[in-house]
Amino acid sequence: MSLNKEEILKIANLAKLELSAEEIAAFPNQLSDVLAYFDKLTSLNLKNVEPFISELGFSDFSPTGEKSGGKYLLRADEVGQSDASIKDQFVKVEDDYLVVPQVLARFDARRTKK
Amino acid sequence: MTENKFSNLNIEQILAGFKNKTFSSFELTSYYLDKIKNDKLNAFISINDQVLAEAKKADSKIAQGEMAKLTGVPIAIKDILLVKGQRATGASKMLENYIAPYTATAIKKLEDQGAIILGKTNCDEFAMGASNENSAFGPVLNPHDTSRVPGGSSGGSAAAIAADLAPIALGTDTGGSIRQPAAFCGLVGLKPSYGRVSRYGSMAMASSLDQIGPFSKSVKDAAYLLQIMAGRDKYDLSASYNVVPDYFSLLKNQEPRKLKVGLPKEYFSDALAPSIKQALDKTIDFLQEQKIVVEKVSLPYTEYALAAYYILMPAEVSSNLARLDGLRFGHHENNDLNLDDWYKKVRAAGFSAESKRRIMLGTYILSAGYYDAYYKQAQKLRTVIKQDFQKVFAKVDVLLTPTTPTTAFKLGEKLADPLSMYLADIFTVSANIAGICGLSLPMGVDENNLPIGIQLLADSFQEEKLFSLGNFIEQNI
Repeated sequence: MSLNKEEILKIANLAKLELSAEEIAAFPNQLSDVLAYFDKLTSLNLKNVEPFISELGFSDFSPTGEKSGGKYLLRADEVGQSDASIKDQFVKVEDDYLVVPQVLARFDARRTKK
Repeated sequence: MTENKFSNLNIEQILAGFKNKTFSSFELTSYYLDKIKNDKLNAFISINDQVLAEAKKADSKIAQGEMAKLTGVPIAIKDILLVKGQRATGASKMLENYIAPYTATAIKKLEDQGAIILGKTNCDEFAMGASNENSAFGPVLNPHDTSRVPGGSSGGSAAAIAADLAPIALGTDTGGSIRQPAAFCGLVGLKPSYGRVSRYGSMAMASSLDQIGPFSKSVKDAAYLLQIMAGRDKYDLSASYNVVPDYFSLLKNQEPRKLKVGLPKEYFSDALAPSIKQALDKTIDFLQEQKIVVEKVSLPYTEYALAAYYILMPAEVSSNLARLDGLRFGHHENNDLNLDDWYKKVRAAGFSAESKRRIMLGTYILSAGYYDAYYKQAQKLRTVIKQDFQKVFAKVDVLLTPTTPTTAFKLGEKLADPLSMYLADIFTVSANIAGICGLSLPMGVDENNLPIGIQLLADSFQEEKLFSLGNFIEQNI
């Protein structure tokens, strides 16, 4: 597998990344090299192998310490107290609310046209 | 550099020094702080400005005879881990001014035993790299040769101990990020089994592979620190309820000669640097002289492990780093942008090229049409790699391998060629993929006086075997 410049830009768009001119020039070769290294794996026959899902399934206990009898048990979904200092890291605050950029920009634009 | 009573101390010596009043925690901490302030290696990103006050408090506790396991012992922390009220940058512009709102469980447990934090160490951005060159705060230099890298991603923690800026440190290991820098800097580095130490408060890189672990000058110190950090945590569902053995006592009691050692032939290829091969031969000779059973074994899927790792890890990275969007915290834009442009601008300015490469690889691997060929295939490979280890650990207790294919490489040597940088992880990634534990031990130096690391691997939750054999080797070679 190899990736050209157009494919790199498409992936960057999906990943919500803006790339610099240097990155656009370097990434096609760099990422194609890595993908080529994966070829040894994609050609391997693992038809009858179950994919590994999670380490958690092997736990003998639930997160609260009960014997789980081989099953995976989740903790109770209880509301706890959150730490108010978390607000100190907020980008923009107004009256205890976190202010974020306008999410429905396009929808709004259409409405104002009418 | 002149040696004094503070030079190159381990935990045991520090605690004895406090008890016998040879020095105080305040004096010892001042010694490290002075060295950190004059550091030319760029090992630290931030210093804890409360540490001297904390050392004084520790001294009064010591004077009252109230000594816990680490009272007044200074420690350096990789800047991937959160300490409440201190900066936590992830070595990224994205979190340049971020202050952690809570403390990682592993660190909380050390603090509960009296440890004091010197500061946060430099690393590759969000723990992604093998050279520590991928940090928004600049590269770290290897104290053994400043034209070379200290390894990565926990390069600052390793360089800090090797240069005696701290006696012990914490790192994180997702594909070798503790063991490889330990090898490059001549230290002991432990990656505990997956689930042995809580990951709560460790910035998530690849959640199914990440583990927090210690760097130290001795195996004893590593055992001592794991003893304190290991165990369950209601904040991390993957932290195991398995009983934490008394690693430190087991170290003295367990008979290392009863352990069987395996040499996986796939790790002894021609690509290995001759000096590293010699260090392994020396270790094998010693084990045989001590009548320890050493046998050749095979892990047939080893050659595919690195490819599987570089599929699984970026897939998880692309999901985990999606949270860094500048909406709630971290780097953000002041312009009035629509949401899509906001994301792209914030993430372009906040992430390094390597983070972008990994996010893009992961995005591609998980995208429609490629998921089965890459991600699912890698998860299947994970199953057979785990089976490889299970079969081998039915026959032997510990595997002996090199930690790295070469000793520390030059700064800039692999920067333009990401694949060559990724190959530096070739002997370490399998342990993360299989969830088992691994220890890197220093074993002499090469022709350029650069440290060599050897790796011991044991099955999940069998860290005591690593400590037993590692301590035996350390004490006798």
